[in-house]
Amino acid sequence: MIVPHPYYRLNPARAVHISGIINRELLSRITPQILKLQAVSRNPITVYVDSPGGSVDGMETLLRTLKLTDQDSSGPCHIITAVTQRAASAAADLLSSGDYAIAYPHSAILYHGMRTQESNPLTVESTSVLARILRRSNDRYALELARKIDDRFSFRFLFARNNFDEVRTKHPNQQLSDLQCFIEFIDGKLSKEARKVWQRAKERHGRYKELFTTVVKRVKGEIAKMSVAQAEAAAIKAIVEFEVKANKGDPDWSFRGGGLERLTDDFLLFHEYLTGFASGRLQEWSADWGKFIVAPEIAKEIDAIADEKERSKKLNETVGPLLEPLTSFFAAFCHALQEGENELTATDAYWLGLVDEVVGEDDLLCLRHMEEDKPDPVPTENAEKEAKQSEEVTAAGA
Amino acid sequence: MSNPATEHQQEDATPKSAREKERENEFREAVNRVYKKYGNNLSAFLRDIQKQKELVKRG
Repeated sequence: MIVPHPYYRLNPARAVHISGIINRELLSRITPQILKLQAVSRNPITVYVDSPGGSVDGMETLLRTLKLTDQDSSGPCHIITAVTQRAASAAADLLSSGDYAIAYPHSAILYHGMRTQESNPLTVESTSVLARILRRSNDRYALELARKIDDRFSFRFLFARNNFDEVRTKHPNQQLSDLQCFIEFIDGKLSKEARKVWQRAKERHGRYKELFTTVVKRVKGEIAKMSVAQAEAAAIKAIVEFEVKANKGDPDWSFRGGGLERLTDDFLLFHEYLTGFASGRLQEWSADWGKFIVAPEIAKEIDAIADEKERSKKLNETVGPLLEPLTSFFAAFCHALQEGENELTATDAYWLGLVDEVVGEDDLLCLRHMEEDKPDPVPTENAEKEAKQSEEVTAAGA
Repeated sequence: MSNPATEHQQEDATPKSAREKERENEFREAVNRVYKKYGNNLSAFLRDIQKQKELVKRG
């Protein structure tokens, strides 16, 4: 029996509309509306989005306002975001930040990296500072995006797993790993435009793997005893050797002639890779979904552990290695989204974990289905009698 | 090098309100209910949901 749940349902009666550019004027207009809704009750708020984007600061202020607690520390209102027509740039980020994010079919969602407009003439010094700032901003936003969408992305993986056997059967290489199956499966669901970002994520992930084998394996044993700077230095040394070895056959290659930039890129990539593993949220995720990913007999064994802490530890130990490849690919994907212009359809956004649901698309599994599917009520004696009487009345009437 | 693990822990350390905890339990219950019935076969669960929707549409 499907019972509508307010945490997943659009509610125009408790909604704000983000239309047009996200700027100071929009914030002045929207803030009183949000505060009023929060004061009336702590029920979910729907945020309809149709915006080309705007200031990132403005979007962050808006998010903070939406997530305000009250004087009784009741916790923030649950936020349902919904793109009606277009969510680009900062608006796309706002969309994905919803506790539950919905896209109307035919809506368009555009992701790209940070950009800036400079009014002052550029110099060598200012461009290098600017490049560093933009790079850092992109990295920060990729990390923040990862926090917002990792649950959705992992949920897609859980669903996709049921199709891995089919993917393997159809693929020329039937020995595909689970991650490769997942990549293939999602690739088949995406539009041509979205496949480009997926391809970039694959390339980036391939680079992670190369770096991992040469760098991480070399410093792995010692890294626990090192300070952050020492670990960074060890990584840089290993990357220098890696690049020199990789470019041995090219007599024109040098650090001065572009290799230094590559070294910086590698170093930051390596950091991204580590970031993928460091998330403490994995434990929380395992508690909810771990059982779906391990073999049923192992799930049973874990369930049989009486002590809750031990059970959770065992689940994490089992799930962690299974999810490792996905986690590092996910980090690559979040960074790939910050490169170039990524114009996505509503369905792309669903498969890439950027939204939870596409309105009217019944074949896309979402969390709403899980919470709204309630067991049918057990009929009581009275209810049975009433049903029988009603049937008799209907029959007599006929 | 910033430590994202610590950042997450700091973020997660914010005390949760009773309402949020209740909500978490409600969510976990729903997930466990699906697992009990379908195991890890979410495709079967989706098919069931689609059937239910069809029935509702037909009245």
